[in-house]
Amino acid sequence: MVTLDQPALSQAEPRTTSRVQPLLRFARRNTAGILFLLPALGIFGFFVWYPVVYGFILSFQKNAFYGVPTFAGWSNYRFVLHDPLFWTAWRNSASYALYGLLIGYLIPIVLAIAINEIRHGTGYFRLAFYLPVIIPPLVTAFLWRYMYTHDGGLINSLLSVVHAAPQPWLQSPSTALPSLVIVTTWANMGGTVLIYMAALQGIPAQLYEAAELDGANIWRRIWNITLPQMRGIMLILLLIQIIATVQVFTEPFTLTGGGPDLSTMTVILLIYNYAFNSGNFGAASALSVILFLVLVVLSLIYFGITRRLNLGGAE
Amino acid sequence: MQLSIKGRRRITLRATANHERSIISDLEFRKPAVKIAHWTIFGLLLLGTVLTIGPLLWMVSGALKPSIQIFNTPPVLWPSSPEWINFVKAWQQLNSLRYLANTAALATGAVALQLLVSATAAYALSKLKPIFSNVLLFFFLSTLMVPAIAYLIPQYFTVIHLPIFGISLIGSWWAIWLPEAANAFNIIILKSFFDTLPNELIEAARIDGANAWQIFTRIVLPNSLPALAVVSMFTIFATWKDFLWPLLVLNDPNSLPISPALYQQAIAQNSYQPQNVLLAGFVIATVPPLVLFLIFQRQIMRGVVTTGLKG
Amino acid sequence: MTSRSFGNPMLSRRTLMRNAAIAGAGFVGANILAACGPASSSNGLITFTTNELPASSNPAQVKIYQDYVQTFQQNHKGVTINALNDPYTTQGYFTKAAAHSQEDMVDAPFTDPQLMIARGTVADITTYAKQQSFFSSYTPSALAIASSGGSVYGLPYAGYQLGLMFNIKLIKAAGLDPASPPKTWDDFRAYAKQIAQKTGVPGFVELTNQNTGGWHLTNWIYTGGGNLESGSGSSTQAVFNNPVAVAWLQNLQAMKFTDKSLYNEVLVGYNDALQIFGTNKAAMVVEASDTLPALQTAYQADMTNIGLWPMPQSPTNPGNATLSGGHVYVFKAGDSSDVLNAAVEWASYYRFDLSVIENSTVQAAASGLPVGFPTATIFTGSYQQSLQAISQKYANLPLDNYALYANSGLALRPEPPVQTQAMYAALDPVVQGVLTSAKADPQTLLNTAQTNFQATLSSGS
Repeated sequence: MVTLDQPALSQAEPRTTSRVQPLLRFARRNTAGILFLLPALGIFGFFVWYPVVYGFILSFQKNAFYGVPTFAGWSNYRFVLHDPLFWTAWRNSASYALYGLLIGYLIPIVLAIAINEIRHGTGYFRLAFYLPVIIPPLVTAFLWRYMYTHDGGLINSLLSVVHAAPQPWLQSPSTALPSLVIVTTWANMGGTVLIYMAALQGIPAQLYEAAELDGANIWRRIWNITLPQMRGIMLILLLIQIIATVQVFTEPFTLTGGGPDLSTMTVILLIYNYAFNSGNFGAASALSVILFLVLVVLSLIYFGITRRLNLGGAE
Repeated sequence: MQLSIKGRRRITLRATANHERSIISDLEFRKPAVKIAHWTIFGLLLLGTVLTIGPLLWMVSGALKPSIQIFNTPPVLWPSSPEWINFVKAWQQLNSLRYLANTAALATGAVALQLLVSATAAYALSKLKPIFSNVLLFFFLSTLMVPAIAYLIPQYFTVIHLPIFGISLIGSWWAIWLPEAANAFNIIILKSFFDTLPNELIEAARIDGANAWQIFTRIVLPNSLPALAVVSMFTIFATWKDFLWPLLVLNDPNSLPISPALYQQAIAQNSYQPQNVLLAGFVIATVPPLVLFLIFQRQIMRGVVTTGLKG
Repeated sequence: MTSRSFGNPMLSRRTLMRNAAIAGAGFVGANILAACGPASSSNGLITFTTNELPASSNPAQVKIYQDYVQTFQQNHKGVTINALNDPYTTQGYFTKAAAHSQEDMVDAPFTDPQLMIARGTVADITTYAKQQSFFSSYTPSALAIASSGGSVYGLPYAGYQLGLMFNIKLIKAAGLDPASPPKTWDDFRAYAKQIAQKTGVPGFVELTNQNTGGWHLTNWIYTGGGNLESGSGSSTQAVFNNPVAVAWLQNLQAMKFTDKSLYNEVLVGYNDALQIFGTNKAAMVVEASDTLPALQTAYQADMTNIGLWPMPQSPTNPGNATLSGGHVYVFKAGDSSDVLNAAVEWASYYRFDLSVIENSTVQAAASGLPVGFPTATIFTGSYQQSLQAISQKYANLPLDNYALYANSGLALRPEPPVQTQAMYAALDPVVQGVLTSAKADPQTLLNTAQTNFQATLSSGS
């Protein structure tokens, strides 16, 4: 779109006689804009763009923290790839994402549809399901640790009231990861519910009316109209959730520290341990770069989908 | 992000039910079977909210219990004689006031800096459109694809030794404010809002002799308060939740915000806080964001919807 | 990014500075300035920071500490001590040290000075240390904790030795006698089983998390005469995957799954264990006597109900040893000589001056804190005798309960010297592993941990 304040640059200037004038014009047109961009350019330059590039450099250096950095070639990458924990961590991060989808992906969709159909208390439900999102993750983590306590914790106590066997929750390699996922899901699903609810309200009423006239019952309407209409947003949130789960730090760090027996040692925790437990910043940087590449690929998929949906959208 | 722009135009949260139909029509709703199903789902949802609100109440009740009742089977839902003293202990022994004040000050600074950085950039990209602004917009947006955790280590190095300036930000709150201000989501939110401000308004001001700065402060900002409020809210909540980064860059425990401070008190080998006092500390840490949320819930939830940002 | 975007750094900096006003900088104020300013000695004024302020959960201790700071500052005009409650963690220390922002004087465990020396984060204090009268009384092994190549880098000030702490009432309820400790792993296992069966309370809780699993496994390996590291420097080998470790871990596994005499949770950290033991949720735990004050102040444990036995030893291959560690002051590399001197003077005054020690012992006893528990000795000669005399004179604890522990005659073995905390971190999963599954194979777990930790050793970081 062309607006008054933005004539095309190539436009001829018939009355110009001097060669300086176009320069002045150019300056007048751009100076303010560039000045206004400077704070953001500075901040992004120093704290995002530069670190991203620097991370690649660090991954090829040795001993960058406590001495003079030296070129290390691929040795940091070799170290990371040969570390038996490398695959453990990736397997755990992948399971974290998978459990996250199993436990946490469908619940918000179901909740959103249900709340949207309820004729009473919509505001309350929206609020109540969103509430955990604003609790500081550290509080969430310790609150759940308190409830997961094996002897006398709320959950096992309630189980014993109904004569069910106590569960080990965070204390067993087979249940620790799912238990963490329950915590992350509890803490994060509220936002997703709101987004789905908004998407539901964007579905045109005529579609339902037409379907009803065609004799489609409620289940068929959900299956044939609601879900297809939400397909795009469901796909996007699927990817966002995967990317977000891989980045979770506070919960495993504070609740299990990677245990028991490495069953919750995620890629992020491993990076943290390399850097701050062993002081091996080269290995930490190398693993960060690998993680970075994996997540960028996922992000590219996400943006690809967003773009495609957008082209097909209302614009 | 295009999605969000579209979303904001199209989506309004339904304040009162039934002004537009959903899956079930009003006519259908009168059928007894549907009514029964409705109330069943309603009951299940109520039960569901017990799962979200229940743990929070459990935290409060735990904070009021004597040590001996904390891990009781069957669970003591509410202590017979609540120990309010635990809150006093938490307030004093956990230095809650200091850490709450730190967090509030950190949040205030973060809001100011983020608004400044994001609003100026959004204004330039939306209205001034200098040369290369499309390329720059792409560069800003591309940071969304880069998860922050993946450049944690080099970012930490940067803060230790800021290039060009050659200074260390360690121990200073700038080490939190500056990196946090690099937030492309804010730029998107504000730019998409500024895009909806009519150009005629700005053109009229320019004809009246206003320069770019005056237009920014007198026309653009005052007309964008809802968007600025959303950005501010998200910034405050993000600061309140911040955990790992302050732990890394703030070397003085007295300058920590509340989450990492509580972590140190809960884990440190010489602090030995009993469980009920810790729980009281967690309640104290939760109250400010909770109150803020209850006051601004409409704006915040609308913000979540328009940005797709999950809090 | 090209220079274009940084074209006017002055402007962006000015913008930031101006923004500081909006950001409520007044709020930040002195706090931040104090935090990031390096130790200064201009104008004859000396300020240094230390991480040793006692936790605020113990107000009596904080008060005593601050009174001494006051007195010291009055006697040393121009010196200001900025004490923080910043308990030491290996990660925290090295994270800060990387940014040269660790405190000027740090209270650290015995495990870390050698790594600090290797990484160049601590100052050589030989000249200041040798001026102190107590310095010549250090035992050789205590002195070695923070020395390298004839130079002194730290001042050890307190030692501990691990023992078997027990709940007297529960022991008696199980029909056991506090006067007859379990001598071997087998006795110990039988005791735990008997307690669990007779009282329903778990006989034993083992630490497993936040590096404590490795710490305690090291102790058990010592009781079987085993080693964890061999060689030194860059040729150090991890050798903890040995038969002694396997035998102990099998014992522990049997206690958990065959006898069912262990506490139920697998992830138990340092504070968790104290809380569990202090609130009578387990009858025995491996601890040192210096945890008694915490048990009393934080968990209201009854001091007359706690006893300490020496560590049980391996039945087949007794090491006749127990793990011993302690606290050491280290000082920041790069600090001026004035600051180092002042900090060493402060340490000397607060931790080693006999009259101060006597006074603070009196004060501690008066404010109801436990006094008189036995510690591992790090000094010899008359200085040590004076320390002992003070401790016994004001003791308010039932010392008889710890007599067997204090006079065990077991050798006090220091912790392995190279990358100790990283080794402990690698061993945590081993202990957790045998406690999570009856089928877990100790040898396999140890071999994996050995591979992991050897890689850290070889990377030379």
